[in-house]
Amino acid sequence: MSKVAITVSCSSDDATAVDRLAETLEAMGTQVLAVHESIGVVSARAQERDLDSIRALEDVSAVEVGSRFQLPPPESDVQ
Amino acid sequence: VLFEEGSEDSAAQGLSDVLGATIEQTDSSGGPASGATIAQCDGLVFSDLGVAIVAADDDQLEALTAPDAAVEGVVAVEPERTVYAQGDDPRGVAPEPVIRMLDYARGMHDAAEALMRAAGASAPSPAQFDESQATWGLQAVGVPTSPLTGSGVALAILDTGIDLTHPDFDSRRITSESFIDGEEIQDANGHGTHCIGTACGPATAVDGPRYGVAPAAQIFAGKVLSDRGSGSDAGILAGIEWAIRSGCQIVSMSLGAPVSEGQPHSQIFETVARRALRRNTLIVAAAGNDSNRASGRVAPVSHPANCPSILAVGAVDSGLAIADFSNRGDEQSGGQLDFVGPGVDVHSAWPMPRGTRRISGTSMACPHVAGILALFAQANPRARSDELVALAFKGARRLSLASFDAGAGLVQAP
Repeated sequence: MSKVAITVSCSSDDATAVDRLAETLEAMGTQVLAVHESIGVVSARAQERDLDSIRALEDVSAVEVGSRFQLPPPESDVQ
Repeated sequence: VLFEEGSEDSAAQGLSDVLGATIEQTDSSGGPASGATIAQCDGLVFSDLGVAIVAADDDQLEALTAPDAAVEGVVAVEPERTVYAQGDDPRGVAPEPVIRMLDYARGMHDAAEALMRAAGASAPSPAQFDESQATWGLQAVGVPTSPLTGSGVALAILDTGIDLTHPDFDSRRITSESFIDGEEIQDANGHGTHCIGTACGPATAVDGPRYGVAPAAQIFAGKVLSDRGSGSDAGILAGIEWAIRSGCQIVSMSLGAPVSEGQPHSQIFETVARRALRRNTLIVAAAGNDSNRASGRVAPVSHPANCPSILAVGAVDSGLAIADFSNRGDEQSGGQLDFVGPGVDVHSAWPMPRGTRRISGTSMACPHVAGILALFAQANPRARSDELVALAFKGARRLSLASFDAGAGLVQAP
């Protein structure tokens, strides 16, 4: 099963709680890409099969698979 | 107690008889009723309103509200309500100031629309724009006549970066950060430079008309989209965190991912936007260009502009008509449109050697709104984010467009 980019929001934006959540995710085998303490969010890559387990963690308020953004080509008249 | 118009005196007398109490009168020649007056008297008639506030026991209330009640001139009787300042409701309702302000403003806007229709009012006639001094967009939002410049306000533009060699930004202090792996802040795409130009370009451009809304705002250029125009939630969230930590009052994001009708907004971006608001950082985002109105396709506001705590910006043309590509508020999912800005045939900066370019999109409308919010922030240095939103709503020019297309209307410089 492939890994997906995910965003995990912590139920608190307290830095300690966010760091603790990141450690828990790593302990589960999730690859933590960035810890955004001031907005209470962790960016990570995880196996799809692990998403439900991550959602069930105590400090997690939401888990979302990352969106991709794509601008039209620079030569386009509408951007 | 509501009195029938023209029967205030007789109704007040009848009310006094039922209650067996003297009812005080206010009149238009006097000052406002004091809090002490309201608290102490048995009854008070607001003559100009045709309304009385009275204290009544259960029997008296029944006498006033019974089907056969015969107090001449009384139209309606309602129990007094207790109201609370926003955020102070002792029932523990969580304060959501921006959302409440938006809902209030939308209600006001809808009411204004209904009144205009009822009165047979026609749409405001579009101004004729001479772009020799300033772009049509700046004129449409009232920038050339505003004394404000955005001085002292930190404004972040999260996009494809900026052309650091552009002569129009020569004298500007620019704080920048790239969140794209392997790419510097230098903009090889053009989109970011165009958006920064609209939000923060100079008062006098090296070549051509003025195109910048807030020429003295401090520029924070965050690269969250690559030179090929692509990005991810992770990079955008990193950019938002950087902007918050840098003390930016306004964050402009001319980016979005299409959503389907009824698709709920991102809980994570909504939470982040609320956390940003608590730190006085207001996020503005483009509503998206996924519509093709001429062919009947109207798409809902994109992610993340569809989050209630992020301001969603649609686009109008120089005739103040909604742009063909501009997305619409989605009543089903709650992803509302908040404002429109100039977004068709917009002249702004482009990486050298070209220097400037005209393009269209809600991406171009968004930095107009962000720049105007920076002007409001300069004029109201102690205002919270939600207060800036309320001021912008109050000052917006109402258009003859549905609120799900145009929100509160076209932003106007203070």
